[in-house]
Amino acid sequence: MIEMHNVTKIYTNGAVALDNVSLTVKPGEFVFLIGPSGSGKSTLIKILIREIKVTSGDVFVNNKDVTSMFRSEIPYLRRSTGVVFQDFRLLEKKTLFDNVAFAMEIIGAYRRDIVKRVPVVLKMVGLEDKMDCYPWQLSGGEQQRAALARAIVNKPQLLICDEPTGNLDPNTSEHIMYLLDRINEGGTTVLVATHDTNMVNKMNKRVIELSQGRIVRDDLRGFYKNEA
Amino acid sequence: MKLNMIWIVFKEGFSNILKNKIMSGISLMMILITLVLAGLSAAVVVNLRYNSEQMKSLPEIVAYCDPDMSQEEIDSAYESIRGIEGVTGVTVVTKAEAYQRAVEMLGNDDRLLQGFGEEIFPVSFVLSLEDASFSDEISRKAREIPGIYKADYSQEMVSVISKISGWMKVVTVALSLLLSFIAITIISNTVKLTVMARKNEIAIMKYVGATEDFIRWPFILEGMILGVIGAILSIFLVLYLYEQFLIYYYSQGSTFFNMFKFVKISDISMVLSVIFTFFGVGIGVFGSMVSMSKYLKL
Repeated sequence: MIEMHNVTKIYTNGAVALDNVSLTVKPGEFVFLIGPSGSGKSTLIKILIREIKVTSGDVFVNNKDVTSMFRSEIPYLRRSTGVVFQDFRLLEKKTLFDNVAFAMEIIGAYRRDIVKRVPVVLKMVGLEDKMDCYPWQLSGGEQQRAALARAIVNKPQLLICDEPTGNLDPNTSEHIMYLLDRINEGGTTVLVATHDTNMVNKMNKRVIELSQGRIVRDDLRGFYKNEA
Repeated sequence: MKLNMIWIVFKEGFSNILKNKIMSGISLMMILITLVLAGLSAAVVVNLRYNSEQMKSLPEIVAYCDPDMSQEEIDSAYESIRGIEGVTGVTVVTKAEAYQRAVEMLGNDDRLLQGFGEEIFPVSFVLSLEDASFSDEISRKAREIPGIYKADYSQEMVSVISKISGWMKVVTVALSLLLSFIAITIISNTVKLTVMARKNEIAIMKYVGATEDFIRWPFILEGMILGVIGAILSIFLVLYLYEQFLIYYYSQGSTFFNMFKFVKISDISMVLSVIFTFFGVGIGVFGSMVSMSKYLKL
């Protein structure tokens, strides 16, 4: 699903964000990416969705070479990869239904399919009663669930979450993690970059720890801290 | 692009205009001002050229007799003129007829003739020619006839009008280019501001996998729609102003300028509509594309 070989990313100001990182994530895995701020988590995610290019090394996502990809191919990479951010990134002027439907519209889905699929996904994340609400009418947890619905509506093979519970209270965070687990059980590979100690410890999934741009730990069933 | 995606692009393009009313209004005003000014100067050029062509196509020379000539001398001059090669017909305009024409021409201003009688007008001969290109030579021969003090043909006026028309054409083209440039710059800045104001929205569109075309087309469409609306409004405005001018002009009765003929509205409306639509759409689309190519990279 994800393969990174000797990936190094040096920004134009000389900062080394990733230093010779190699990792493999198999289809269907659930992986936590942890590490302090500035350890390279966000850079790694940006590389996976080709928001930025690597300085050296190879990256494959869904068997596609991300490093040598043409600009015109990037949207198709992103369509096979759902992304969820800490700040939700919902379209403010669209209702929840339209926000989720938009992800289907841009891939050219037919209206009849959109009308059928969007309520199903919103029901899955527990927002079937809020379809006509605008993002500003919802709580943080509800907005994040809406963002999750948008990310999975096109049934991506890979779901990447960057601090999905960063702005949420513990109860809401737990619900989001429960949803991610359910999505993973459905066969979607899930990669979550997080600082949420409780979640990582509770889920007991694979943990990859980054520090100063290097992988310092890769546990198949890990916790947030080694000693935990 | 699939048909349903084209529909979505149209939907987005229209809603963009409504969501950004002030910016859209400024762009629309610019297109409108550009096209109205260009249209009015084009109307001047068209009319100048029309009159110049009209005058060129009139193969006539008017030869004036000395006012003191006797009837015998006038008859003799008449015979001489008829004998000039290339002259197909000669019409005599008597003093009374010349006076009557002047009264008609001056219309409301006929008080200018108060105190004068027909005696101040010379007898003249209107020469019909076989070929207008011999006007110069025939005019010279007519002046050589005793008692003929002047033999005019419209060439002088044609040349003046042609010159004015030539200058107006240059002015129109320069004015159109300048205004187009200003309109494109403003539209491009409008789209740039819209793009920047909608930076987050565009970023989200990119994250969920929207292609560059899918993001770009609503903006281009926005420019196109503004161009079409601007063109339609300016066509009506220019034709209305032109019509009002013609009504005013003809309501003034016969004046000196009455020799100037104006092109009918129906003759220019179709050409003007086509040119304005292309021009308006061109300005709108080009303005959008300039800023999109700069501010939209995946």
